[in-house]
This record gives sequence, structure tokens and C-alpha cells, in this order.
Amino acid sequence: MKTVSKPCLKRITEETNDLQDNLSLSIVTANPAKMDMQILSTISNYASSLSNLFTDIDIPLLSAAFHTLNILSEDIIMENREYIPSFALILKLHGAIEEAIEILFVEKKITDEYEQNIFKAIEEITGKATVPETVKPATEDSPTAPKEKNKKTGNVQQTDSPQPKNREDILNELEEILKAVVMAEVGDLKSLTDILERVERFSKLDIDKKLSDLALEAKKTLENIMLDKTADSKTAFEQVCSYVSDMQNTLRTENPPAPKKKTVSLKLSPNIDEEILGVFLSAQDSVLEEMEEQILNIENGGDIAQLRRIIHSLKGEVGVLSMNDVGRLCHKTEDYLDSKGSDLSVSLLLTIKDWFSQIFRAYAGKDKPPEPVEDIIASLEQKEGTVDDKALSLPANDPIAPTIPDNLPSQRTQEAEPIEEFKSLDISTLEDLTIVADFISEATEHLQAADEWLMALEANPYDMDTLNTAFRDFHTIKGVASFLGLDGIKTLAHATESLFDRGRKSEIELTGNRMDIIFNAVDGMKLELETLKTAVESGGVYEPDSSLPQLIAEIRKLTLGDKKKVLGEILIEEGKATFTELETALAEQKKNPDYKIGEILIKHGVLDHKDLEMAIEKQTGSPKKTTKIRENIKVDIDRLDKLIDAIGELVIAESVVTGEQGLLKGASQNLLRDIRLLDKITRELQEIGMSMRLVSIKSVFQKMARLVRDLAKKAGKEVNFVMSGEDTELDKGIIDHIGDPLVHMIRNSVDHGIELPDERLKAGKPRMGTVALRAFQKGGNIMIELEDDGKGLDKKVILLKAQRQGLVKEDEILSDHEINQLIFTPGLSTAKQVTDISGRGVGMDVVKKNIETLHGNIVINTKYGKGSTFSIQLPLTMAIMDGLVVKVGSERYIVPTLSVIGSFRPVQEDLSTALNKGEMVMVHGNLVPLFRISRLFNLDGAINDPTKGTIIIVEDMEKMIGILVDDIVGQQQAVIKSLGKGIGNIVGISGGAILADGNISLILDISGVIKITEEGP
Amino acid sequence: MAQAEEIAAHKPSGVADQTGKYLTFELGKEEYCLKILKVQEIIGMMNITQVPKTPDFVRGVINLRGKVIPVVNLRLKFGMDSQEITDRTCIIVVQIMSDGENIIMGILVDEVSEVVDISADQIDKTPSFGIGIDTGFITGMGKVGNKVIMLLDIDKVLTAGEVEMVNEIGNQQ
Repeated sequence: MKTVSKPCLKRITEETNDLQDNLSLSIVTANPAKMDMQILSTISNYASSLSNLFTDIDIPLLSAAFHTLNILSEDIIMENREYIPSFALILKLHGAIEEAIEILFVEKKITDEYEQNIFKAIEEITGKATVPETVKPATEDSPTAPKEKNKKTGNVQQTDSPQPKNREDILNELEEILKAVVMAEVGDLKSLTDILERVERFSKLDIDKKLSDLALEAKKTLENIMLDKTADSKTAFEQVCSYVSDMQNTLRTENPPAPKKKTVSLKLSPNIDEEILGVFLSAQDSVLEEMEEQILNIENGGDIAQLRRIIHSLKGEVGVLSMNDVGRLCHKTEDYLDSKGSDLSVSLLLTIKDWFSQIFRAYAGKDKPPEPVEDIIASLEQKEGTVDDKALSLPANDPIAPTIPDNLPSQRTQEAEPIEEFKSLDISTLEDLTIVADFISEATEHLQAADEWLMALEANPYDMDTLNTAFRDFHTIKGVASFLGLDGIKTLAHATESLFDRGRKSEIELTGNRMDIIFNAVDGMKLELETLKTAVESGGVYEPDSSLPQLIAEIRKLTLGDKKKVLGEILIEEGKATFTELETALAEQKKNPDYKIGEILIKHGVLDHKDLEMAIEKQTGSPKKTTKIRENIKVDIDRLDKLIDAIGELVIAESVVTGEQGLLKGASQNLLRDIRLLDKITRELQEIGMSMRLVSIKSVFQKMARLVRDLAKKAGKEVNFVMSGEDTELDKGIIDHIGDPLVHMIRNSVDHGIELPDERLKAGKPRMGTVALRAFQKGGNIMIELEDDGKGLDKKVILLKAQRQGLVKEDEILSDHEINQLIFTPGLSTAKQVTDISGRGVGMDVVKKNIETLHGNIVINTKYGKGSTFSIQLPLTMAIMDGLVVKVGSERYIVPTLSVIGSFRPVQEDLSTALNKGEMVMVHGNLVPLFRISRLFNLDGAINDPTKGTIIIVEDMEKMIGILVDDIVGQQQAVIKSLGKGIGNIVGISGGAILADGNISLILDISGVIKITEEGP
Repeated sequence: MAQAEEIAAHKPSGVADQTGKYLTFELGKEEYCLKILKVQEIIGMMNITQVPKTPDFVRGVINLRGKVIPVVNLRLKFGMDSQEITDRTCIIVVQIMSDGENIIMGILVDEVSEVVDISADQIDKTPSFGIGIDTGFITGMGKVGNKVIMLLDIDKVLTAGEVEMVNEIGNQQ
């Protein structure tokens, strides 16, 4: 390929960079396992624009490559291709393109090797197209011969497919045209031509006469617009729009479009209390987080019991809220978990979790409804290897299940239990239906309360009140059901009642499996009632669910309470001890009855303490930790903030009172002591207030674990993610905003930092890369560190690029540290090809900015070839800070102590000016620019002569300036308050604080002040 | 019966119905009023901290029992001359809705006069004064006694120009 000229390169940087960044971002955000139409269409749009741009710049290879990307993503949208394999192709091609562009900047041309890479990727895409017959091949004219591409201009994608593929496509195309028309302006000939061409194509389409006519009309109007023949271009455009939408309507009425892809209905039964729904939804975040944690745990060989429990409780809750789809998915997932034991697809489970979180967000009105639940259920069933019937079938029904080792009770008990048959009830034979209806509503009421006590019971299995309530509920149901001859319901209620009864008498413990079965029993009862209701409404026959006998058998089995196993049995089962060893131990125990069997075994060296504890845990059936339950109360954050505000006021009021000289002068000892006490209590209160907003960073870290996993999978890398200090607490406000920058940095680390396994081996590193995320407290700050053992930054490349971008002068000598910090400068990181080579992706400047708004700081340490460490320093809370109170004219400002280096009153010799304007001050032999706050902020009445005022030297990000104020009034801990939404953000001011006298003083934001000094007010 | 009462109780809250209680205040020689439901409280003149780099009509911020709220000088907002601070000058603290959020702001007025009941038949449509005079935030002209009182839509007054303008200034920097 020929060398690209400099102006061309410049154009690439100027015109395509943003688009490329956006494209990369969309691709990175896309979930490789789950299709997202929106992201795909964004990808397709960007790729199409980029293809056009590169045609224009005359680099046919890249144009063709982007074009292929566009076509590919459209194909996926049209469902002509499967998402998952195709997305991998997108990634591959996009990677090849990125590399090529990088090399383009270094070599001024795309070298053969990279050219070949792109060709290969393109071929792979166009060659592998799997196109359903009904659809005209979408990729037929994909650029297998990219060279031809450069002849074509305008909308490449459309020029290439003169005959739109099917109705859906045409409709989409019309939609696109409509959009284009709305966006178009009179003078914009390029887009007008584009629209014209597209419309023209329709006029030639041989589908429907009316359609062609309309297209012709639209075309004429468009031509008139272009030739400026219309009196009023606005109306003309409207005309075009109406033609196009008429075309759409024609098409729609002619052949009704295929039913749109269904989304889940979000309908809830109207009697659901909004408040309950709100509470439920707000609780789901943490539930889902935990779910995700447990899912990821499975991958590391963790237990599924916890996950099962979470999903089960969720099922119960959504049942109450009648979110039927969610309930079904929960149920299916449970089945899946049961059927597979340990051999689970983590990805599938994560998809399920995502689905949950999307639907909950949708209920909260924050997202669109997810894809229909059937899709996921289908893939679940596929994985499960069985398509079994509806709700509540136990895994024992599953023909495959017995061959799979499983320790769940349902399977153990299966063969032995005789299956009961329950009579069905023909509703039409009943004389008085109202009794049945009453029973249904009454029983449903009882069960609605059930979830409440179930939870309570789970928290405390020995709570008599709860047990009694549960017992009574089922007892009532049993009574009426037996009177009505509802055999199944009666038996179920009876079985459950007995279970509770034994629990009440403390004969059995309602924990572990028994709790599970109680949940099942409640669900089963609900199901029966539902069936009965349908039967009553339709006048049909009530048929107990086929799974009912099994459920009841299950309950009975657990009610009998399998006697506690002897410890020895467990030990042998676990393979911890042999039979003979046990025999000897038992023999010894006979001699010394005081010893316990476990102790003897330990003495013999058969067991260690850990084994024994485990076995005992098994014997008692529940882990010990269940007893430790922390009580929480949820408080609305507004109320909490009000409380904190009030505390803040109290602190101020207190300091006003105790500062009152007149009061203290004649005060008695007692009064002084009381004042000190008051002071102490107030401080304590303030501390408590502050700590209440602190939350653990765990939730954020948990998300990162997931992210690393996904990213690594997508990029084909092996990454070990290590977290520490998840329990470190930070202000809620900070936690809410630290996620985005962290996501960005982690993406960079995994995508660009960690090398592919082979590369790592070649470099003498272990195959598996390590990304460590740490949080800890250091001084009054919280540190978050992200460390990877990847490539690290290449200083030479960064410096070179910075020089090319004009950020650093050619002859300037920078320290290593300074070079590393360059990646945070906006100019450098937007030029993405630079940072990709250096191992860091887009937008580190954005990361830095985000962190600065949190009053934090970020630095990087890196060694080329060894890895990088990012350290983020954050304040413990955003609400409070130390500051110097300074006076400027009649106003007082607070300067954050963190930024202050020193202060002094200058003498004339320290001061000098440049051009009679720029002022400078000499500090320890360094010249520091001096700025007057009064001038920056246009304040009257400030001291004009610097030698009579005070200079404060402040620093932000290695930049030092002096600011001139009248005087330093004092030092104070300030509670930072926003200036209110009515005012918004002001550069240079980070907020206001209330002074001891009740007045407000504004807090200077030093980085903002420096910005003003650089860019002018 | 009970139903009828209920309906009656709900009636005045209709959007189109402007009947209700209004707080009237003076700016120069003109009298304005705003719906009493918008008013949180009226406070006397107090120390206002200037905020640099805001439009001139933003007088500054005050400490309202520990909350920092902005204060707008309504005279300057309406393009009138600044007033002298007298002992009658006061700040009306209002709750306004902007983008679905409740914002508390103070407005600086010359003098608060009274609370009046204005019924729909006392309200005339705002006449058009020609180009250059924006009357978008005046919902009508109330005729009370022999006075004409302008009905302000305080949400519009404070959000439309205000927030945008301030943001604009922020962006320019």
C-alpha cells in the first residue's frame, strides 16, 4: 500500500478519532454473551460513518474493513447471523483495524502484515456467512475485493445492496431515510444526495406500484429542494417526510410486518402496593450482587447451596408480587441448579442474573424490558438436557437426574416413597361456589403473610410466635380444605402443619433442607390455589398438580426427621476415617466414656480439628454462622441527610455558644464542665453522623470481579482477579461515583495491560495474568489500588506521541514520573492509537476528571514489561474537609488545607511582573505565578498591595500557583454543602460551608482556580 | 354524599383553575403574586454570601438553618434597577420544580404585602406587550380591588432563564 500523506493523517486524527473512540467503546461495552440491539446498531452506525470517511480520505482498505463491520453488525441485527460467533468476528476485525491504524501512524502506511490481517478477518466474515434461504444474502457484495470500494461514495451500505432484502429491511431503511430527512438541511447537498439516491432505489423497486409512485413523488420534491426551487423548504421537507411515512404505511398495510420481537410484559396485578414494590426493588440490588458473587464462586468450586437459597427466596418474593415471568425463571434456574450439581454453566447463570437485574430495573422504570423469559428458559432447558413440564416438578422427575450424582434430599428419597393419588374435583358439581371462592381468597391472604414469616423464620428458626403463626395459617387452610373436599390441598396443608408442629415442640430444627421444603410447600400451596381458582372461574375440573404427591412425600420425610446421623457414619462417608479406625476408637470410648469419639480420633491422628468441625456441622445440619444476624434498618437517604444536616447545625450552634466570651467569663466550674460535656457529645454525634453515610466498597468491587471475568473471556486472556479490603468503608456519594472510573481502568488493564497467554509465556511470565484491586485506609484517606502484571507503559512511545501532539516540546526533558502522568492529559489520551500501543486505552483523562470531582487524586506507577499500578487517593467522606478561612474584601473563602503548601506575607523584592500584567512571586528560589482572588472573582474592597496581604501557595496536580488574599482568618473543619441546584457548578468553587458565625463561606476548588488562571475568566 | 364531598374537595386542585390563595409582594411600583403553596417561608433580610461568576441577578447564597440556598434578586431578574435594602426587604423562600426535582430558592423582593384570595373570574389573560417583553412566566393579571396584580409562575421564572443561564456561564469557562 502506498504511503499516506501527512494531511491525510491529520484528517484521520481530526475526523475519525472520535468516531473510532465511540466505536471501540460500544464494542467494549457490548456483552459477548448477550445480544444488545442498541449497541449493535450503534456499532453499525459508527462503522458505516467511518467507512464513508475513509472512502473520502481515500484509504480503501479501511473503508472496506469498516464497511464489513457495518454489514456484519446489521446481519446480526437482522438475525441472519448468530450473535455469539459473529461478535467474536467483530472483535477480531476491529482489533485488526485498530492495529492497522496504529501502524499507519507510525509507518505512514499500513504494512503488508497488517493489511493481510484485515483481509483475513474480512474473508472470515464474508466467507462464513450463514444465511437463511428466505433472505437474500446480505453479504453477497461484501468487500471481498476491497479495492473496488473506493470508487463508491455516499452511503456505502445502501449502494451495495440495491435490492433491500425483505420487508423488514425495507421498513428499516425507510425509517433511516425518515431520520435522515429530519436531520437534513437545505444547504447540505451531500446528505440530500444520499437521501435522493436511497429514495430513488425505492422507486425502482418492483414491489408495489403505490410504493414506487410515492418514492417518485418524494424524489421530485427532494430534487426541488436541492435545486432551491421550493418556496418554503421546511414544508417541502415535511412533504418528503409524509411521502416516506406513507410508503411505510403502504408497506405495513400491504404485508403486515412480522410480529415484533416480544419483550416481557411488566404488568403487575393492580392491587400490589407501590410501596411494597419499591421496597422490593430497592432490596434487589444487593440480592443480585450476592447472587453474582455466588455465581462467580461456583467457578472457583464454591457451593451452590447459597445461590439456590437466594434464588429460592427471590422466587417467593416475586410470587407475592405476581411477577410471573421472574418466578418462572427462578424456578427453572433452581431446577437447573439441582439437575447439574456442580457442572454448571457460569455464563448462563450470569445471563440469568443480568436478566433479573434488567427486569427489575424495568419495573423501576429505569430500563426497557428484557427479552422474553422463554428464551432464557429455553437455553436453560437445553443445558439441563430435558424439556420438562411446568412448575414445581421436582428434579426426581427428570429421567437424566438419577445418573447425576446429587446430594439433594429429593433424589435420595425418591424411590422409597409411595406416590399418593389425589382426587380431582369437578367444580360444576358444587352447589355453592361462593364458599370455594371465599376459601381461595382467604387462603391466599394467609399465604401472602407467609413470606413474611418465612423470612423471619429463616432468620430465627426458634421464634415461637412465628412458628405459631405459620402453624395456624396452615391449620386454617387444612380445615376448610377438608370441609370442601379439596383433597390435595388438605393433605399438603396437613403435612406442612405437622412439620411446623414438630418444629414448635423443638423436636426438629427448621433449618437447611427443612426451610427449603417449607418454601416449596408455600409455593406448592399457592400453585394449588391458583389451579383451583382457574377451575372455579372456568367451571372446569380442579386437578391437583402432578408434582403435589412428591412434594407432600418430601415434607413428610423431613417431618419425621431423619435421626441425627452418628458422627462416625459421616466420617466414613466423607472418607475421613476407615471402619477399622472407627472400631478401635469406639472400643476405646467404651473404656473411657468421658471422651467423645471425635476427640479420640484426633488423638489417634486419624482426624484433625478441621475435619471434625466439618463433620459436626454436617451432623447438626446447619453451619454455625446462621445464628449471627445483623439487624438492619433501611432509612431513606433524604432523611439521613436531614439528620446529618441537623447535626451539622448543632455543631455550629454549639461552637457559637461555647465561643461566647461573655458566657465563659463569669461561668462557674459547673457550667464549664457542662459545656465541655456538651462539646464532647456534640463531637461524638458528628462522628456518628458522618459514619452513617459510610458504606463498604464491596458492592463496587464485586462488579469488577464480574467485569474482569467477562473481559478476559472475550479477549481470550487468562486473568486471576484478586481483591482485598472490600470491607473498607467510604462515603456513599463516593461509592456511587467511583464505579465508572474503575470500570474504565480495569478495562484498560485487562484489554491492553495483560497480554495473551502465549505472549506472557514468551515474556517469561506465568500464563495467567493477575489483576489486583485493593482498598485500604491511609492516613485520613482511602486508597484504591489497581495493579496488573501486564505490559506496562512504554515511556518512549508516550513521549514520542506527546511530542507529536505538541503536548511536550521536542527538547524538553521529563522525569519518568512526569512521562507517566502524561497519559492523563486530555490531548494525549484522545489520540487513541497512541495509548493503545502504550498499553492503555481511551480516556484516562476522563478517569482523572471523575476522580477529581470526588476530591481525589490518581497517580500511576509503571514498569515497561512488568506491569502498572494505579493508585487512587480518595477522601474518607466528601462531606467534610479541613480548610483555611481567608478574607478577601468583605467575603471569606475557605482554601482546602490539602492543596495548601504554605503562606507568607511577601516583601517587595519577592514580587515581579511580566509584560506589566502577569505577576510572579519568588518562593525558595522558584518563580510562582501569582493571582489575586479579588481579580479572578471580581470582588471589591480587597487589598491591592500584595505586601499588605497574604500569599498562599497552593498546588494541584504538580502545578503551583500563589493566590493573594487579604488575610488568613483561621482554620476550620468545614462541612461541604452544595450551593444548590439552582446555581449549578461554578468553576473555582466547590461548594459552601457554614462558618461558626452562621454565615456562608465559599470553598475554593484549587484545580478550578488554576483552570481559570490558564484559560482566563 | 361522602362521594360528592370528596369530589368537591378535589376540584380546586385542577390545573387550569387558578383560583386560590396568593402571596402578593412589591417590586418597585408593581405588585406581583405567587401561589401560596409554592411559598415555604418568608425571612427577613440576612447576610448573603456573594457567589462569583454568576449572573448579576443571582444575589448569592444564604444559610437557611444549615441548608445553603441560592437567592435571586427578582428586580434584576426582571430587568429593573437594583433596590436599596430596607427593613422591609425580605426573602421569600419558595419550592420550585425543575426537571421533576424539588429545588428550594430564595427570591429577594422589596416588600411582602398580603395573602389574597383570587378567583378565576378576577383573572384576565396576560395581554401581549409586543416583541421584547417576555410574559411567559406571567400566567395572568389579577384584579383585586382597584389594583392589578401580576400572577407569576414562579417555576418558570426561576428555572427557565436561571438554571440555563448559569450553566451556560459554567460552560463558557
